[in-house]
Amino acid sequence: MSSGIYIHIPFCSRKCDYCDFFSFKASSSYVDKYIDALLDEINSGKHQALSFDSIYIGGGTPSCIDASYINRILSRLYARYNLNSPEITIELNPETITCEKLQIYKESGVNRISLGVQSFASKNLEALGRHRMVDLNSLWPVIFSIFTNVSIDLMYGIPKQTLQNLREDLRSIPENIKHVSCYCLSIEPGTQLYKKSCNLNLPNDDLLLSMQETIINFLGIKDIYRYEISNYARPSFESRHNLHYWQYDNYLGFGAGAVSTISGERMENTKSMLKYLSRNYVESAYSLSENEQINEYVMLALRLIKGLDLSAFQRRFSKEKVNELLQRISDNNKFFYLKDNFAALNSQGLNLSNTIVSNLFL
Amino acid sequence: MEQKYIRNFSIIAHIDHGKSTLADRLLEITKTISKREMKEQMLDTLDLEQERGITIKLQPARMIYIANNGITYQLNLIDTPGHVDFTYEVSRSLAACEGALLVVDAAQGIEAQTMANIYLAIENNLTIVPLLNKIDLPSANIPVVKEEIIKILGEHEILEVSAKTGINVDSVLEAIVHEIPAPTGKETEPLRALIFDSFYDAYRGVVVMIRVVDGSVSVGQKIKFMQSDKEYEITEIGYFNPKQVKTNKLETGEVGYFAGNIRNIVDVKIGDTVTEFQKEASTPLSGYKEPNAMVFSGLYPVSTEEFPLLREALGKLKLNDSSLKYEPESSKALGFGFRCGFLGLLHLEIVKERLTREYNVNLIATSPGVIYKICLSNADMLTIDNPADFPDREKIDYIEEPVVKATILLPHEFVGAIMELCNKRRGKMLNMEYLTETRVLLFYQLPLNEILVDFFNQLKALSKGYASLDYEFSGYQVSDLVKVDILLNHETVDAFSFITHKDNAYFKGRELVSKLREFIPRQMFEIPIQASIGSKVIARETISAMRKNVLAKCYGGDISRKRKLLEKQKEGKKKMKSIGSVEIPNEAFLSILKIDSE
Ligand SMILES: Nc1nc2c(ncn2[C@@H]2O[C@H](COP(=O)(O)OP(=O)(O)OP(=O)(O)O)[C@@H](O)[C@H]2O)c(=O)[nH]1
Ligand code: SF4
Ligand SMILES: [Mg+2]
Repeated sequence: MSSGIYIHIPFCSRKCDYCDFFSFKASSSYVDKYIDALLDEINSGKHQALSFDSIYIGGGTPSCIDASYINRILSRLYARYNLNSPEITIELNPETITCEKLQIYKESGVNRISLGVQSFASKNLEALGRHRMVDLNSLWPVIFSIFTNVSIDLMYGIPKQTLQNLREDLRSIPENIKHVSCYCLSIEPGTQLYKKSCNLNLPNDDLLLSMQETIINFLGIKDIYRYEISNYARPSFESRHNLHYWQYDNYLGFGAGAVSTISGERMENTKSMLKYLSRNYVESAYSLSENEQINEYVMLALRLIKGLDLSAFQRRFSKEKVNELLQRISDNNKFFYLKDNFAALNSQGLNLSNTIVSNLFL
Repeated sequence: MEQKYIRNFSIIAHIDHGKSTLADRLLEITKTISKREMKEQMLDTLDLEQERGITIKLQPARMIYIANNGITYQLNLIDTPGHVDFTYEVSRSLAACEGALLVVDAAQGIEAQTMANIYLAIENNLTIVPLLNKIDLPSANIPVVKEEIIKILGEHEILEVSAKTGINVDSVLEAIVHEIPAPTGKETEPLRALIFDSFYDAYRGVVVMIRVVDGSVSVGQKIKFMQSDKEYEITEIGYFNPKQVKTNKLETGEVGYFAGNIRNIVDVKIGDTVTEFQKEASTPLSGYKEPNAMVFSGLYPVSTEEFPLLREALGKLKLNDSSLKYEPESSKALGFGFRCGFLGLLHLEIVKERLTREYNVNLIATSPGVIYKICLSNADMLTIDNPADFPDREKIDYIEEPVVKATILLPHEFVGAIMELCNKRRGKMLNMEYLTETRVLLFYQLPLNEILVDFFNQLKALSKGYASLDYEFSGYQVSDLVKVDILLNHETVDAFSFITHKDNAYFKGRELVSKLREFIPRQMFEIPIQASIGSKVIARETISAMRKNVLAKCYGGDISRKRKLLEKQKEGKKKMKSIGSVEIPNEAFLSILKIDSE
């Protein structure tokens, strides 16, 4: 079974108001040291016996640092790990894109890009505290001339957003896009937005659900199907890397704050730059109990539209555990459908997945 | 000490007239407590008393006083509470004394509990030493208040003091020595000591508070409780200053405590007589008339595993609060708990607080109610203190509810407003008297369940705080009562049922239903909430279904955190009570059943 590799680049040109990711404002001296430490971490070659079919370079904004760094990271991975025609994704911010950068990425092996668009409307971006100076329309030809497997991130449920406004955003998605992630804005504690959250004028739940419907229908017509709570793809363009998470496969993480999970062992890297730069990579490492693993498995698999693969679940745990799970599912059966040995949440269930999944927890 | 040098007295008054503050000054002047150790209302030893600024428990303290005549006296004072719910504390204190200091706030004048306490003191044959307190206040009205006191007590010398500043407090000590009689017990007779209070101590077992009436008691002696017929050997004896101070012996007329490693708490009964084992007194002391519980409520542990803890806590608390009544009961909604009887709502609230603080049990209390008498069509009589026992309406011939005789003392300009309030509460005026030209005494018969909730607040609000209330149980009257049930998703929640007068049912039903709507979180389905009398629905609200609860993202770095989040949700759900498949958080129960004890 193949696994995924995640690389964390915790730098951004500036912090967005809704952001609760682990990221800093990039300063060149820091970046250089960080990449050195990162390369050393890769060099240490943990879990070299595994074979990997996906690499995901995320952040932060990986595209805000020099593209040559990405090249070095990827070559190091190629040198150290057994990579099996991997999907290699990098997250990009539109304003940091240049033709040269894209070229270097491509030459380094990147074959999929994920573009943090969030919205095409400047009003929405402002509401999110994200500013953009670039004209996306002139960028598309450049992007598509170099990459075919392109994904964009969109956000909905933005303060003051209307259905009309959402439709305009959807219409601005370029025709040849392969994958769309559509996240409902959530106001996380500690963010700028959270501090303002009392007078944000956020869409209510009913409107959010209509928005969700609108997105599903709009993209569906274009042959882009929902395959996870917030992810949509053309057939066979689902994110291979992210599927690893949702199918509870093994994954290795490198970089400050990155997390690895290998057969029930979880390792969390430090978020302290100081520690990371002094090569104290790991903050904590622990084994997940069987119940914790089962809970995570269920929580993740039920994010997928196709649902939880009961035979895979049985292989991993046991027959009794499957029966126990089925028992708990039957207590919540109006939110499920069972088909071809898969247990999946129906559309109502997906909207309430937190409640239902916590009902299923051991 | 020889009896003729002992003086035993209680301090009595209406709430807040300054009993505990006066006690502070007495303790200070007699140097029982040094200035350094002194804090305000020293004798309010419970945290709860300090926080609320009221006395809940009686508290004895022994003082040594060298009078102006050069003689040294032992003064045993007992500070008492002023609130009507704690009158039993006052009567137990008075039975251990020969005199009472009657404190009257010079700015407030005589109030309802002043009168009630005067009558209690008179019933106990005590010498009353009246004094005006708070004369330092600009609003003090000395001549008028003196006149009021004389109206009730007859011609009397009345001291004028300020417990706060200490003015004239020395003269109080002299008055105690000269006016209050010394105890007159028989020193050579077998021991007879009155148990007026007790509490539980983890190391020493039950600590018994006594007033020695005849004979004496010392460490090592074997004693017997006359009523419970149990013997113990005394391991410790002491008095209060107000801390416990060990000594070897308590003599005739003295007040103090003893311990005897008593673990079986039911052996100690308040009002029982302690005598010497194998040298028993022939007759016990008269003891106390146990007060009747007026208000009933179910107390349930928030988490069901705490039931045994609650049982133990109630037993121990009862030692220190003998007016508390309890017996086990169960509720579909709340599980196992106890139906408890209280002297009033403040009493209920204090018991709840003490159980939580002193014994660490978290509680839910069901709506407070009273005892109803129900005559069935077949002429059988039922007595119920729990709405769950209310019979089918068809089977009922008539229902009687308890009524009280209320005494309301107020300035005459508020008479109109207060009469209107009493009428709204189904009151019947019995009498009206002028205490003085401007102060009026209103006597009303009121249904007890009409004054439980928010009556006192209204009384205060409508009289700018000047009206005061005292009441005592006076009997039963036939009344048109109904039981209102609350249905959640079509299932009755027994904990929310209540009995009320027919005219109030609609309003109270609506109120409770809308409160429920506010406190019960949305669930995955729509929840109808109804109030009904029998099968007739009188109020209805709906909690619409929750439609969205989903995490937008969950990737490799988020998994632990999100799992923990959902685990927490699950834990939260476990702590909820589930009724008719509706999950009700305990906070909702607490908020809905929260009572306003005034
Ligand atoms: N100005 C003034 N205030 C006083 C005097 N005596 C007491 N007080 C204040 O009156 C309030 C009530 O005093 P307490 O001594 O607690 O009254 P209490 O009679 O023991 O009250 P309960 O035990 O609750 O019935 C406190 O705020 C005291 O500070 C006084 O002589 N003058
Ligand atoms: S670009 Fe992404 S990671 Fe950086 S601050 Fe904005 S939201 Fe956060
Ligand atoms: Mg007091």
